[in-house]
Amino acid sequence: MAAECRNLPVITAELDKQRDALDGLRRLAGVSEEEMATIRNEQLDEPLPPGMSAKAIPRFPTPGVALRMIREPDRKRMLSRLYFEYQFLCSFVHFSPHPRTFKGFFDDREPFGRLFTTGHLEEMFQKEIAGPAIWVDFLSIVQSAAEMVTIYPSDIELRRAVTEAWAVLAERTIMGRAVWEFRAKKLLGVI
Amino acid sequence: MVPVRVRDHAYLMTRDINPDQRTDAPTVDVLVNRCIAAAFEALRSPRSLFTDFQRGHLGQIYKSMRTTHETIRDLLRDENKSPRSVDAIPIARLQLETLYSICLVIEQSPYLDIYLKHSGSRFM
Repeated sequence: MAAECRNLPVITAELDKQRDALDGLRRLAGVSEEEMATIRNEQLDEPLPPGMSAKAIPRFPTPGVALRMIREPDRKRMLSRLYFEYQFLCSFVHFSPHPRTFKGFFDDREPFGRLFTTGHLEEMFQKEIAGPAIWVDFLSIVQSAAEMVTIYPSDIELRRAVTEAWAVLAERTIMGRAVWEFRAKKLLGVI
Repeated sequence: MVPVRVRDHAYLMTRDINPDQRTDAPTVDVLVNRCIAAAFEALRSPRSLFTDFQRGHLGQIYKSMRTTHETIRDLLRDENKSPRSVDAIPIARLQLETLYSICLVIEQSPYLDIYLKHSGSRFM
């Protein structure tokens, strides 16, 4: 924004007022002077200060890249299985007919929606939208907490909370049962 | 990237699942809140793997998952009467991406710094 507005004195003055606070946030996030200068060099063509070497911040990996980097075999197996769910969810984010078709089905102002009975629409909603959304959400939270067991193995409360949640997940969903068998069961010591 | 193929990663089920069995949303909410609170509390204890700052930030990541859970619940509350409910699916993707990220930073904690630095690099 600063680059786009550099010829606008009013906006530039406002941005200057925020500079100290933003610089504080940058330092809090651990971005060094070298890393900041490198970004400015790459993005704005500003020369690096004399004697300073470029130091780029690597990109945080996307799930596909992270999956390749994961070393623990059971964890890798779990994330490989969940990659199918991830690809399904991505189809609703990238340009694809999925979200538009379902939005048409569930909109009673659209002709598509009138092709189905109320019961059929409700069943479709549960199976295609509510079910995947809530179960992926639930599983992601529970397993994210369960992964902390590897760092805090003697935390009884943590173990109890995730074990109780897994009792529901592993019985109600195919995806949950696969993750339970591949990873969570052994992680929580339920053999 | 190496393709992830169904035949390599599917789990062959040995027991059926009762498709009529229902789980109340409030039950899920209670379990979600317990898991997040337990992870947050656990992260109060120092561990050599993470600095105090990193643990604080990880705790916030868990809390943020609860907010996203509430957003999904709100979107689904309208049931099939509203096409807006469909947007619960891309939001659920956020939760799954967080699981991948947590798994990675647990194995390779420097990636937590990279995650933070990426946010910090916007403040230049």
